[in-house]
Amino acid sequence: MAHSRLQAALATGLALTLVIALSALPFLAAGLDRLPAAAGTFAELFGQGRLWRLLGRTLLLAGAATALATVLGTALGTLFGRTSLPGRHVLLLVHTLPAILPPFLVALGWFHVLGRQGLLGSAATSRWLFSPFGLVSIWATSFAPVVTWLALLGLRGVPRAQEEAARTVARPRRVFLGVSLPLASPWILAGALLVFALCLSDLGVPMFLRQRTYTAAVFTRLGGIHFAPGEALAMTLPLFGMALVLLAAERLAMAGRNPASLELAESSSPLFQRNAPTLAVGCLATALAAGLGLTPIFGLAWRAGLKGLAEAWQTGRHSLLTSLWTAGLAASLLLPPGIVLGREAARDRWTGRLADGLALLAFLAPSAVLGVGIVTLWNRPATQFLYAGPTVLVLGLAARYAFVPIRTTAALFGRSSPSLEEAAAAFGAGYFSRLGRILVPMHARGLVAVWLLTLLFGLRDLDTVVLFYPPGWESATIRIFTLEANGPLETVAGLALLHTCLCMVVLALFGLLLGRRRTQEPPSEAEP
Amino acid sequence: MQKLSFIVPLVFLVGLESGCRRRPQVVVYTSVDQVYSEPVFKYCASREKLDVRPVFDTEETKSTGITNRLIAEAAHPQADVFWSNDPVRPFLLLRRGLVAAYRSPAAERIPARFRAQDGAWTGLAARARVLLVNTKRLAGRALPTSIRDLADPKWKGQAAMANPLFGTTTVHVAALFVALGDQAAKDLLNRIKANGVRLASSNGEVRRLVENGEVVFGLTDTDDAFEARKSGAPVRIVFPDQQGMGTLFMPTVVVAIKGGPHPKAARRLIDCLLSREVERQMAVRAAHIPLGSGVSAQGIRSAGEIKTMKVDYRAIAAKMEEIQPWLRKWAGM
Repeated sequence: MAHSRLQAALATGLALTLVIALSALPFLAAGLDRLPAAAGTFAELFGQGRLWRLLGRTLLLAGAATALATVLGTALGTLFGRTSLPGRHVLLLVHTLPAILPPFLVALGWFHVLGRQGLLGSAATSRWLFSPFGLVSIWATSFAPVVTWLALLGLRGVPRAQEEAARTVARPRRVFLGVSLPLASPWILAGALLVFALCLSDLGVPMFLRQRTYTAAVFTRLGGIHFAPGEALAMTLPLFGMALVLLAAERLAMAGRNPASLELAESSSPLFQRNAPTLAVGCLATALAAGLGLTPIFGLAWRAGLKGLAEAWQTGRHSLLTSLWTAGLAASLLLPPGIVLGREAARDRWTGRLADGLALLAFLAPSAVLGVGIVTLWNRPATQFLYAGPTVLVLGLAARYAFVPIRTTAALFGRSSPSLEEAAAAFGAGYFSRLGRILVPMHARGLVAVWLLTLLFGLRDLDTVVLFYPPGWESATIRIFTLEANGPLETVAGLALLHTCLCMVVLALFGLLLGRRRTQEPPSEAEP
Repeated sequence: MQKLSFIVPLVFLVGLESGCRRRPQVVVYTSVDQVYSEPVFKYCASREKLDVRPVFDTEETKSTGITNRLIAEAAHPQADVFWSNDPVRPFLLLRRGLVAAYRSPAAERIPARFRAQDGAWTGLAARARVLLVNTKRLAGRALPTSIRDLADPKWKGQAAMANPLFGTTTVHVAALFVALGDQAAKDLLNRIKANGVRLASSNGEVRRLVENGEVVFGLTDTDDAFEARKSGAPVRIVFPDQQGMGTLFMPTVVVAIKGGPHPKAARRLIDCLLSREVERQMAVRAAHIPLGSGVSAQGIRSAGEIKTMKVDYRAIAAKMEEIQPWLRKWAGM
């Protein structure tokens, strides 16, 4: 028993140390190096009101996008998760597409549809696209799938008995609004907070649509004539504050539940009776949702054509491979500590909560500061072998996305009862034995899905690596971003399309792994 | 499936850079547009048998982003060569002692006013700051011919320029401060702002605004202007102030980075970048004006045919830093 506890402590300690080293140290390095300069300039920068107004504008834009995404996502989560509409599984995957792509690729796709020379474009559509309304719409449609999935999971987590009891006295609509939705609201709120954070931290879409946002201003401040990372750090302090507020809000939204252990529920019985009007509205809505997901990809394909694709493959395949294997390595680096710390989070231990919180903060915090921190931390004689090569990309991605395997593994392990491990422990099985022979094999398929999800986050990354990518090792997203301004439209669109296809393959694998056979549930007896 | 979950990640380890390249490596950071510089690096890699590893800048932080990365890495330089798309930012590196002088034999054909005598920096393949005019939107009116036309009330709300905090617009604005004096330059910029000039994020966006007819004319670089002309848009290129102070010329500039990890390969790359062939490629692909002798390209005027602004790039570099706080307020950043 003592031996097992020692193993557990060792594994947890190592995993936590790795997460702290990856996620927290770059911020510490940036802070320690630049904090005096940042403190000195804070009053000067913020005393005049310009930056506060820009921050306010950014919060308003992100808030509007979040509200829109939440409404869309909740409605779609209901349709996809708690109805028996035909083809909903496929449509859900298609609807999810924009969320797995780099957001500025989605914006680029919409540009090729609605831009002045786009497929359906005109001066009016172009003006709308390159406006705050366009920014809000792109953000909302790109990130709505996050809310869709969380709403879907939340609604499936509603205890079936409660719904059935409510149905004896109320109509399905009232049951949905009065029972199901309130019980699912913590997950929906968690989704909304995540969308808000994604909007706030996004760099690519505001820059592409020429909209001034606070995060873009921080990034361009690092590129300004004065090399003044102290000023950039000072500018990010409000964003750090926002990140802490978001983390606290998320904890409150969970109302005492372990936020890392989103339990994948089993109730998927339809909420509404399947009649003609419901079917028509539902099919139209889900088809539209899928259409919104496909349209920007179609825009890229239309612009690229075969010529653009061929040119993109010839000139950009190295960057695609770089994206794939650096994201893959980062996912592989993060999976073992994710397993250990995810288990801690699923069992509601303080080590799991700490790791989840730290990793989530690293995700929410400004990527520009992470970039400066990576340079400060790793560009030293002793670590040149890491910094000068593609390994620094792996480290950067791991720093940013450590929360993905921790949180999703916790959700996975949360489904299984601790009693299995306890029974094994009673028979003398040590920590590593229980982990390696029970938990991991039991959830092997899910762990591959976790790895794929982490890979997806790495593939879609731009903001993290753009500041320090090593010579000759640009990822596909960086290549698209740097070429977009002056490169041939067809080639840029072609490369964006190839990158999209890569993400779609990974998503398809993820979908295959998550899919499972279900016995068809009998339709609900509720009155219309 | 269990085995797959361990095998798949391991496959990626095979993709690790093996370090088996035989060619000498050289790292170059550049703010010259990737679409133009990448083919040049491929040419030099082939000619000099080098493994050229480039890092490109983003449009939004043009030149300063890469310069700042060089400064950030000063303690342990990663780059061997910096090819700047403007002649001023290399002075930021020179002032910080980050440049190694190298007098390339290929630099002898470049006029003396476009290079340092000690080889600290060498210019090639220049751009000029021009007015790109949409002839349809012009609708028969007289062409704008001067920078001051941006402040002319008759063009209110009908012109565009890029953000003066980045790229070549910063250089141009600093050059105006040097040429006109601080107060006159500030007055001009304030009048430009009051005249409703649209502030674009880049010269590329200025080009798009003019091409699409959203503005009548814009201040941009020759390469963007020629792209607009090549695309068939109804545009005309005007070299401003030919009757006055002249048009600002901005050579691209090559410097060797002090302490770079591959100094020998760096010198070979610099020799190649300063060659006639590279200037010819930059003229043909990017409409850059050749500075050295023995290079001509169809449709590209030579440096001798244009009245250029008399400038001291070192003075412009110093002025650029000095006016930053004022420019940030002007641009609302």
